[in-house]
Amino acid sequence: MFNTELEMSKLFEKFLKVNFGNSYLKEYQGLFGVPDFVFYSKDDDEVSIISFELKLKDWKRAAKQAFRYKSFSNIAYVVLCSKSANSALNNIELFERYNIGLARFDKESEFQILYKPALSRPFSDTLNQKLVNSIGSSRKKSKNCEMFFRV
Amino acid sequence: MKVYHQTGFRDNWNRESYLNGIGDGLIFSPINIDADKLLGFDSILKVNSFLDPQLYLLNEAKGTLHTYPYFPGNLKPDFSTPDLDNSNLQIAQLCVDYQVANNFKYLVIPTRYNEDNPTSYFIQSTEFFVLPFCEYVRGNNINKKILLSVIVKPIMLSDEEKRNEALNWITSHQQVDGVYLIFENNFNSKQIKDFDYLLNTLRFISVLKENQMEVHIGYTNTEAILYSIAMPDSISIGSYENLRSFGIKRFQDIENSPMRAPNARLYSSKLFQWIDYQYITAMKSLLPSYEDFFDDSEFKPLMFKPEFKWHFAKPEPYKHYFYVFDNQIKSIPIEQICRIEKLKEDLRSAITLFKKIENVVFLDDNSNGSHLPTWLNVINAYQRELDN
Repeated sequence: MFNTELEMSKLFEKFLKVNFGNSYLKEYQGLFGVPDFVFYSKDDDEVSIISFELKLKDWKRAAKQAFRYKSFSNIAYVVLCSKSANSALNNIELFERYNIGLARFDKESEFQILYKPALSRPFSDTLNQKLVNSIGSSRKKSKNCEMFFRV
Repeated sequence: MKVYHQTGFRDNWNRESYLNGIGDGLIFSPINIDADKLLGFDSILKVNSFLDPQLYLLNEAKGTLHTYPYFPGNLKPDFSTPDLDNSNLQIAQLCVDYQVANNFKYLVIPTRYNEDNPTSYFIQSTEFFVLPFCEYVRGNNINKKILLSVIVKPIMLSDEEKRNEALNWITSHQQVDGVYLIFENNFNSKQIKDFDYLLNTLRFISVLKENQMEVHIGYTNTEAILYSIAMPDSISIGSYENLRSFGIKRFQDIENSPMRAPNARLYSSKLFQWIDYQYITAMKSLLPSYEDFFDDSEFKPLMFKPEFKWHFAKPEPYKHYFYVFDNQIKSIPIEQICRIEKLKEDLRSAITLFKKIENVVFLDDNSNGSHLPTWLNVINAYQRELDN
């Protein structure tokens, strides 16, 4: 069990780097809500955005926050510790209905996707473009990001 | 029931709307309008309006408050409570004279704000404000209705003894025709969802009406329509959130305090809610008839254009709200029982509409309809009390 969300966030950042690359922004402000991590993947001119909201408890609040991130992201995930993930799993239809990803993450850096959402277009072109502009000419590389969504 | 514009920053939006036939008058805000500028306003803006004297904090010269002749700091630097012993008559005279010079519809007796009211609060208020004000009005044969400003603190609603004490005090002044009620709002949510608070507010208004007082409620948000079932004489509409919810911070000269700009929101009379515009973007993507959830106004076409840059400081969403909410209030039935039934019907309809939206858009608690079931319960409880 994580003691704090900060502890969870630090470990998740390490996990992201090792498995998916370092193409991410942390707690990026000025959008609709503040996602814990915004992961991006560049393919020619196409930029795909995956946002993550990490929580130790209150999965429903996390899901509401994640839905906001769909304004600028192609995918939004709620990442919960094992205990909270079980409560969220009992309400999996909510994640299906709103096309929000759900994952479990624990102290041993074990990451398990419980619901894999479909890739979708961000609701707001303006917010998405704002984010894409700030990513700009970043040369950071991503890998394996296809595992986060259904095609 | 009348609708007053609670003015503040950007009061020109209210004045423009009022001149376009929206609302029944304005409540002027000294911290935002220079005293001489207000004196120079066309009488058409003032004849159905009144002044909120804003003597809430004796020592705070926020904004343009110091330009008002009755501002205590103009009588004595570092004016404090003990100075009221010697200066109350002078303040009353200057305050009445200024209001008379503007030819407002009502004369408003000021009130003070305390974090926690002292036990002598009502005695002091009578001595320092009510008596000198009323005596000066009577002595000078000024023929205008008098309103008493009262800040209703949450404890004055929840604690029956304090509630009765406040009601007894308000109704004990023979020369006072009515009350300018200001319900202090300490809630974190944008809509009030506290059953007891809302029911006690309705009870509070009802007692004042039973005592033949005019009841004018300032600083109201959407809950004004709920308050309408207790038959007040007026409610208020305001632009920014701090004009639709009373908090003392607005009157404190706090420099360099961190400010976070809120997201722009759009009011919907069909939903009894202000929806964060980012959710409207989501609704546009997911609900083909998303525009139908929002009222028509002269501002709507512009706001729904893709190139419209939403920002909380833009006038269109507020002017839209003034128009829509004024119409909503004006359309409620005159008879109390019909008003209650109509509101219940409209609230049920809003709950149904929210279900349609939330089938695809996951709204947060400040944009969803989570306040509506509580409001329905409050109405039912109040209705039961009326029947008994």
